Amino acid sequence: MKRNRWIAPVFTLVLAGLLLWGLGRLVRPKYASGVTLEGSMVENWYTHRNEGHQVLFVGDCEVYESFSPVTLFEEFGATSYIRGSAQQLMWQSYYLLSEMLKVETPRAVVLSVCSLRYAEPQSEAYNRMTLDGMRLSKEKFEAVRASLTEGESEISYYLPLLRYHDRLFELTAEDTLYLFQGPELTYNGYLMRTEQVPYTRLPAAPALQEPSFGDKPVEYLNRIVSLCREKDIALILVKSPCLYPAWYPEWDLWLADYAEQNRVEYINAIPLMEDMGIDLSTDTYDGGIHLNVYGAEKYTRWLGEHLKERGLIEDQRLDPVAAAQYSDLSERYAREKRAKAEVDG
Amino acid sequence: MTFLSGGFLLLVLGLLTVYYILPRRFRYLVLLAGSLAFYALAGKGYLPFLLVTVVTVYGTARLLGRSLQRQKAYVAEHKKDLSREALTAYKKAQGRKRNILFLLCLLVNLGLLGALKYTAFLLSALRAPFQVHWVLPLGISFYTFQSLGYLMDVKRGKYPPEDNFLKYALFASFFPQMIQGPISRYDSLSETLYGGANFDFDRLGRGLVRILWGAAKKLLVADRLAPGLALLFGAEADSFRGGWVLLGMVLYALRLYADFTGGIDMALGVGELFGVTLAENFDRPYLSKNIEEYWTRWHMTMGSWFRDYLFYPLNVSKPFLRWTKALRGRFGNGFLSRLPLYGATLLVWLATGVWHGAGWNYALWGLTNGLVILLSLTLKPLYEGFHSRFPGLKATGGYGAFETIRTFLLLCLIRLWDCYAGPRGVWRAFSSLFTTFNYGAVARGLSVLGLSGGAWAIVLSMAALMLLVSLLKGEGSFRTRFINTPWKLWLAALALLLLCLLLGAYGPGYTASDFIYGQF
Repeated sequence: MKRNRWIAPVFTLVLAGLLLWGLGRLVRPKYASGVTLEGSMVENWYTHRNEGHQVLFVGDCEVYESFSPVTLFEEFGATSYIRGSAQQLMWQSYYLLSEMLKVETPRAVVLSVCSLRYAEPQSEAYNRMTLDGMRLSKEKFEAVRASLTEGESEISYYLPLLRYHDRLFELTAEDTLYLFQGPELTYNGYLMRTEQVPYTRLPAAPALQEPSFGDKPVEYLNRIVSLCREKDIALILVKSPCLYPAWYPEWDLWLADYAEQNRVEYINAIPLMEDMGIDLSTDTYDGGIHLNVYGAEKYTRWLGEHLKERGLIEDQRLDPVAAAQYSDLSERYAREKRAKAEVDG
Repeated sequence: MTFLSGGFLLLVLGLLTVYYILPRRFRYLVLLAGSLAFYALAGKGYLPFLLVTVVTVYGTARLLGRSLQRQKAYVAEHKKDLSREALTAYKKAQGRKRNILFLLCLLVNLGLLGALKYTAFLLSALRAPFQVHWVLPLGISFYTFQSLGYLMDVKRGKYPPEDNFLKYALFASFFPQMIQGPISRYDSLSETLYGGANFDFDRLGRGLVRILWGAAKKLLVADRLAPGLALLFGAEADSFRGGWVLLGMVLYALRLYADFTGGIDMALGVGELFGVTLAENFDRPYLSKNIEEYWTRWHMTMGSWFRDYLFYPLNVSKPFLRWTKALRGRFGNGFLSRLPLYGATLLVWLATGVWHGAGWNYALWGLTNGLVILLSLTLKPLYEGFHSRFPGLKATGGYGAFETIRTFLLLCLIRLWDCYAGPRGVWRAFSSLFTTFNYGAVARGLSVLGLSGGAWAIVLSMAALMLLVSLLKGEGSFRTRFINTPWKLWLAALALLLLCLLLGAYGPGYTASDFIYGQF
């Protein structure tokens, strides 16, 4: 009798683990509706990780609202995926990319450099939207460590119940619907926006305090460069054609130098908008801050040509596996674009 | 570092692992290392103060023990060849030396406690042109009193002093009791503290249930009520009168109970994980039928400390005995002959109040308790006369309930000293109970306390559960009576864990408030 005393505690421990995991999933925000849809995007990649993407996009809104993988496939036959989230910091991009490159072997990685402006973690809300969706791994552990803002609890990134227990009284049908798998609201990571709010005027840029970037984001940029070099992947640094917040000429120069020294490509798309055909009276959904779907498609077409010229993509439209992957996606994409356009009038 | 911090959890898990891996004779060293680590992590600069107390009390106790031993041997050796007067003179001389040693040690430790705890208050009371901002080490009142209790026991020859410095250091610094007690006695704690218990799943489960029960009280009740009470008793207190005062004092009593008993449950539970039995500090105090009884059931280790080491010695001290004798000779057995007893009672209550904190409110709170107890003692013949006219009344359940509720409300009133700033604030709040009848407005305006309907439901359900457990447990332990198989034990632990995690007030939006008694 005495020998079996361990059975009850061990059973309880296992049950406790399962319940903590399940309840954590239940109370975690699902970001399935409302204005913060970006919170569900990092997790979505796990469903697509074995699809063999030729191009991976990593970064903040300047990738997930600027490039359309559906357009890239429809027009160039290149498979791609965007792993981005709102205000995704450079170190978060590094850890997310590291995690992706454990299973993916892309030819090119396109990285948004917009977040180089942030030398330190900014806010818990953005951290949560990026990190909560990561599965337990060494990368998640390190990403959390690098991202914590003051007063944040590290352990609650692994036990979300500790952070979101108060949501118990706010649960909706979405919380049970997406209990085990988050909502798929994007098109291989692209978050579609169809509204058209023309650019008129944006707040004046404040004077630049520091012509270079902070040590921390630069250190992680270096790590991304090394990682891609190790894996023989072409790295392209991009600054998307988004006019706010300001992108200073000093930063542009710094990055051009950096790219040259590190033998990577840097594209500042702001002065190339005309070549791309981007018209900020129709191609932005918020007055020039972000591109809408029409702008994103133009930008993607331009990048597709560029990637093709550099020999970084190949046409897989006749590949039955890739074609099957994209047929449903393209159909859903076209349907949503039409429907949203109708709503937007 | 508090019981509910990740650091504390990691410390306990680490210590448990090492504790049960090492041979039994080394296990107390693990607890000592853990206790010192805990204290060092608890606050910068705390450790030296603790070490001063440990070293001075250990050294003095050893000297006192040696002196007592020498005296015993001398008396045994010279019993036959020396006169009784000579032996008495020898004992007196030795006793004087011990008294000097004892007083020196007392001076160092109470001086340290007094200086750190009261200097700022005294300077401000005296309107000094400068102020000090000295660190107040965590639990200094608890470990100082525990150490001085040990010293007095050794001086009285109750038990010999602990020879092993490391073992003594562990007694004075055992980490679960550093946050808010209990104030342990060496003779009851030492056996399990140094024994190095064997690993036992059931005991682990029992400890865990006790910890989680304490955490549930704190997280579901105390911390949920804290912001609302801060509003009622804070800068805007003047706008909350009448019914708000009544509501505030009842909720404060609930919060204080949940907070303090919760903390003690956690301390005792952590001790139990290591097989260490710490003293119980509460025995369903709100079921007491009078204030005197309440003080034998609330913060019992502090009450018994003041009784054994201050009240009794004061009452049997020569000046007090002489005073009593003189008054008895002059006034017989009447009220005036009891003045020394009353004086000693008030002095002890004043000390109890001041022990709780530096401020006039604490002193007045202590004195009010003493006065109420003395008043009820003085009026005892009246009650007895009343009950002799209605002999059946006392045995009825209704009267028992009346006594319990009366006592509860009385102690809530006394605690107004705790809630409001200064005598004027207390008086305004107290008088408004009889002049402002705004109960309807209070019922309609409960939302200002910042608790949603769900939060009220959690607080009230947990309060009901706490009452039920108190009523069901009777004289014994609730766990022994009802959670008495491994399966019940571990599933109860799981249920309590989920209760805390799902319904507790913690995380952003709540500053998991420090334990109220941790301030003392």
